[in-house]
Amino acid sequence: MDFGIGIATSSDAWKTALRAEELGFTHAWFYDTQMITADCFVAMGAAAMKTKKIRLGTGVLVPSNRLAAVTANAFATLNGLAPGRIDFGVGTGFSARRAMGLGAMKLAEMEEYIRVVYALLRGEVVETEIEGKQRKIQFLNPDAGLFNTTDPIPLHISAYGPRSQKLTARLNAHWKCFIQDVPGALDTIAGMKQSWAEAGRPAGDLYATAWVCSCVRSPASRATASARSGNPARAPRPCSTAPPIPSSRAGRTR
Amino acid sequence: MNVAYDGIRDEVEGYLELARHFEPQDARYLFNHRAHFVFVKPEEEKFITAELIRRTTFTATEQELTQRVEALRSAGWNQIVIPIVPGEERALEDWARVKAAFQ
Repeated sequence: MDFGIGIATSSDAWKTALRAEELGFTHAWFYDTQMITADCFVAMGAAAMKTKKIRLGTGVLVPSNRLAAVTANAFATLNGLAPGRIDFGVGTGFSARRAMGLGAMKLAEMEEYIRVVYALLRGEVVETEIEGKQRKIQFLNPDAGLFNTTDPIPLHISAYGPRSQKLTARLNAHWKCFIQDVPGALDTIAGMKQSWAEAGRPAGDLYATAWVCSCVRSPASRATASARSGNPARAPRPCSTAPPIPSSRAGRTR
Repeated sequence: MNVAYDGIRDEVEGYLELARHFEPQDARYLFNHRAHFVFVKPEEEKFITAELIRRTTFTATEQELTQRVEALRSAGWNQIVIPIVPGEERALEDWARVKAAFQ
């Protein structure tokens, strides 16, 4: 089981990534929410310089934030700083777009974006729409040692609904989503496995990542738990006082 | 991701009512997403009840969380990601203890 962390991206987020690496965490995921947190690629660049083992990924990048060519370049540049440790997490956008009054982008547009990013990373000439016109683009100096397009950059798609999960399976991508409880997580992955199988993918090839808000409570806090349903939990770490949910009452997420 | 309403209807409906009055009216999202996943706004604190926490998070002792992570692993999940809230970095050490059970 891999253990990762999500980072509310800041200029010094590398400190959190470095501490996570020291503690043996495998992945550090940086939010790409330009109106809410700091820039993910700048922060990941610093983390790439300060860490040696932990994988660094966007959690998740929102395609409408930047041209596909710019994103491909940023990943290749990061891959030069931390060869083989970079992950491309992507989604249609919730917080990054909602914070500007926008809804999620279209799934087809995200798929096209992914196609262009990976075609560029493979060194291909790729045709894509820029400013309303189809244009052919390509990295022009891939052999000049300016960045790294050699080491693989795995794709992780944030997918909640059947359509996006089918896309994840069709693209043979890794899969990620938020969960709230174990019963809901079991339901969710069952749906994803079905999409995976329908796409003809071997079951063992699915890589599934669960994001979950959490708090590790000390046994003492359990004994003294005072928070009751209906009362706000005001402690600095409010969840530290919340008693566990009985499994028979656990709500399902889907 | 839908949240089962049983037991947290007051929290959900109370928050929705609050959100209907966010300002400015023509851009309620500005206030809505301030602090999103970074900190809790004072206006929202009263909705974060023990029941809401129970229903929407992995909040438990190390032993209980180890059991939950094992359930995820057995079901085919490969990675669990813990969002770290700014100022709450000690959660790294907390979760490192849970992680130790899987090494």
